[in-house]
Amino acid sequence: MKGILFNLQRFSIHDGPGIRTVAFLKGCPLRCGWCHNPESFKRGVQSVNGKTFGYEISAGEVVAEALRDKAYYEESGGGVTFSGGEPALQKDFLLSLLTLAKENNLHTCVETCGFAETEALLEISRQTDLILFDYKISDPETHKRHTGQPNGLILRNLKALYESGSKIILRCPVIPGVNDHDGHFSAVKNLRRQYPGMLGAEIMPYHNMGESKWKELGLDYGFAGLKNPDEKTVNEWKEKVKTRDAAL
Amino acid sequence: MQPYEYIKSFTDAYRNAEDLSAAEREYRCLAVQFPYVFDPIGDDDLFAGKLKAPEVGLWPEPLGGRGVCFHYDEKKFLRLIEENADGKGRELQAILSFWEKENTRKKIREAYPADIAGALPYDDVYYKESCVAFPLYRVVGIYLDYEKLLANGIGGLDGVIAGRLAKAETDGDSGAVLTLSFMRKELALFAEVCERYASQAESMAARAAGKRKKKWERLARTLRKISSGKPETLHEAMQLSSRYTLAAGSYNYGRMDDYLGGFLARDLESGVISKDEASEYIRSLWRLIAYRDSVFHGRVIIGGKGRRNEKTADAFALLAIEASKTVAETEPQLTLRVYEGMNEAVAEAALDCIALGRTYPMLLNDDVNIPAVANAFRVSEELAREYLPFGCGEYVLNHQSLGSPNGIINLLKALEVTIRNGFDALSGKKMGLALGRLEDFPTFESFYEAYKKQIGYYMEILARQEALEYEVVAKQAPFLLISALFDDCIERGVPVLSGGIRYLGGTVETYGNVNSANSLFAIKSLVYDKKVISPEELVKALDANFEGYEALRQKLLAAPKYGNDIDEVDGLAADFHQFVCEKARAQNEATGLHSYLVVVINNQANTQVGAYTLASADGRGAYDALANANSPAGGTDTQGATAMLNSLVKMDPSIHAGSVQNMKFSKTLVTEHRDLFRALLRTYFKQGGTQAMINVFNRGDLENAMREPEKYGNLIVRVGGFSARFVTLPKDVQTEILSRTLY
Repeated sequence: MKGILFNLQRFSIHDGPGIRTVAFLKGCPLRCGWCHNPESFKRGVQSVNGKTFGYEISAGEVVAEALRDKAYYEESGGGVTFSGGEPALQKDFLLSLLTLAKENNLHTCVETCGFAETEALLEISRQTDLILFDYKISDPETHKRHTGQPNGLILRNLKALYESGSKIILRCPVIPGVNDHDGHFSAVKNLRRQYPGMLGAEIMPYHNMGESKWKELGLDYGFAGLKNPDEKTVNEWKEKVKTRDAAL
Repeated sequence: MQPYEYIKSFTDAYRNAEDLSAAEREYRCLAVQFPYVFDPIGDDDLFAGKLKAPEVGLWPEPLGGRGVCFHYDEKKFLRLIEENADGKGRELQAILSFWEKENTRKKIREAYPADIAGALPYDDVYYKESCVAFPLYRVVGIYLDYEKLLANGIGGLDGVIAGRLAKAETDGDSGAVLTLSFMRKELALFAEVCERYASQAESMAARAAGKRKKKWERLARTLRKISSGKPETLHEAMQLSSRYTLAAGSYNYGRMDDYLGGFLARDLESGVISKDEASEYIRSLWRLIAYRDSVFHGRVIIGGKGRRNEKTADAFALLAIEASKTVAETEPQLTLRVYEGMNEAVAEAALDCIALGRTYPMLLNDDVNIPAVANAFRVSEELAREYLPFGCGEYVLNHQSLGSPNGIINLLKALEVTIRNGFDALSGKKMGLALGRLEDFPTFESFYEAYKKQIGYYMEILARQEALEYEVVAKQAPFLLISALFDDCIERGVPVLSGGIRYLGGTVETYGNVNSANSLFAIKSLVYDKKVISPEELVKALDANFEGYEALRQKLLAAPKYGNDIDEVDGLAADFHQFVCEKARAQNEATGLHSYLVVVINNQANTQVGAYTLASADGRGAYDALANANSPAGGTDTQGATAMLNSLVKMDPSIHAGSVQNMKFSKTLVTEHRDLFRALLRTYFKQGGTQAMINVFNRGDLENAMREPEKYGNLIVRVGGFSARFVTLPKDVQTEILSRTLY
């Protein structure tokens, strides 16, 4: 089974527990203006100005690469993460990756933007140890304006996954001027109260490392000039989504 | 004594001993040298331990100067001559001329047969001449038997020697009689130095009051005591061991936690000192070691298997790490031997210290290194537990072996002259074996064989040079204070370099290992397998430093590189490593050395010899730095820390005498993700990692330090086998460190 990745990154320490290898699957239904992986938008291999984005690779090759660091996962409680783009867009490829990873006793995470068919996500989650579920904007209209889609389906999927017993960590990108306001932080907190069995909520502060990639792809970056938040601000954000019963 | 008087006396002592034995000459010279070089105890020092580098002297390796054994410092001489325009100046000029001929370095060069002189046309000037190999002149890596010293004291040790001497006299063993009698006399010289210091301390005590008075009184008592008696307190043990190290001309301080741990425990238990006072002692010793400024040396070893009492040793080790946190100096080079099942508190304290960016302690993995050393040195595992890294990271067996790194080979330069049929395009001279040009080899294998032959030629020369160097040095001086604390010398009545020890070995420093492996891979893949570059074109492009060959260079740069866990290129690198190490290791028989082993240690010579190396087939530009030790070439490891570490462990550790592994990690990783950092190191060690020298910076620190050095005076970096203040390093060395990937 072959699929399309745009990156395969070893020694990742931010996408799930422990030391991990992250496979970034190409293709995404959302168009978040701040995205630091804009090369993930289109599903197929792309060529822009002589530069190629994405490559075809078999599930076996991906897992073989991930297995090279198995000893590091075992010591650190890590494993392999399938991210994107939206990995559910390549559902069959993702399922064969997950199956193969399990056969090799690798801990698996899937990071999803939540905008996918509910059945597909449920099927994926049954093969996955931990779901990293992105939660971006609480107001449906603003969500649509910044990502291209409303958040209704996303919230329904979160509920469905939660009720199916999936282990979930909420991942909340915070973009200055977009969602760094108390209303949003309260919404995150409310979700945590609503789904107390979730394993946590992580703040993912905005960073501008994607800007040059937008340019390379011939795309306009809507957040040009936006500065990365400082450590103090990030810590304040983290405080604001803390609940009494669950540590970050 | 003033420099002029000293120089005259020392030189007279040497001259007047012309017809005497080397042992007696050594004794007479040291009798002049000792009182001159030992500086008074400083006001803030808790120990006597300051030493100056003399204008002319006798050490196995001079402090801060060049040479070995009988050596002189030309710059100091010239300055004195300038300052003394009168008759004294003329006299000094004559003495300088005398030492220019008489120094041991010169005598070693004079002893070279034609083939060695031909292959090694230059002395230790690798930083300013173009050549494949260079000899180095020194006897380093001396680890004394501190257990023996502390268990006996000077008086006791003298008694042991006297006992053996009596037997030698009875047996009529004149060689042993000579060696042992002068060994005793040199011990007496050492005792005199202690007595003299005791007098200084007493007179200081008489003038001081309060806490200071107490300090001087304690020093006076200690120094009187150790001049003959057996040390009983931590203070006495620290004073005796460190003082003797200086006198003997060793730069390493041994398994300090093991030999001082017992004294610490006893003193704490009996209430002689508090833990804080012990820490104060250690900090003071650390400052004195740093004051000596031996740059590449100053090793203090803690931890590891084979210690007599792990519990008391670990208690000392914890205080030692604490001292390295507080005393932010580039020395001592605190080194922690780690192993499965070690004291977790020690491991954690080490990580805390590393996270501060101290570069210390360096970590050595006993679980891998002990069996590796056993194989490399052809000794039992039990003996291999006594392995210790000295200097930049070369292994020796504690007070049983020597393995001075006395040769340098630039493997990339060897490749450079091989593809040009034994010609050095930089100097325009013939160099090495002429085995054909690159285009003359029909297959990669035939070319690789020729390259191996070239390396083999230099290895053999360097090994013979080392054996010869020991021979010449042994005739010049027996180093009796060292011999007294090396296994077997007293029993055999023979000095250390003349057959006194069982394991007299040598080592050779290799540079350009990784650039050569990457170059070989590019040649194999692009010239021979895919044939996308012709051999003629490649050599032309390298000659032109890629000017006009940018597309070709891009192809070379795009070829897979070692350090990314890619089996095909790592496999070739491992095969090349195996060849180089085994070739050296096979030189022991012909040279009569117990072992002759590669050390992939790296000081800053990777940058210095790189400056005399043309562009290479890995895409590296002419005169750029070579990769550091066995680490990936700067910036070519792009697949993450795990991939880089996986590449490192593919190199067989059991065929060499040490390979330093420098790594750069971000402050964020080691502080905010401590669990992951710990897991990373642990796994690396479990997978076969031998060492970790860890630099910790914030992203941007090095760039900022190059821009605004005045603000980064305290930024300490691990260069290769030594640490330095970043801002004091030459620009090209700074650039090399900056080029390494920060994880």
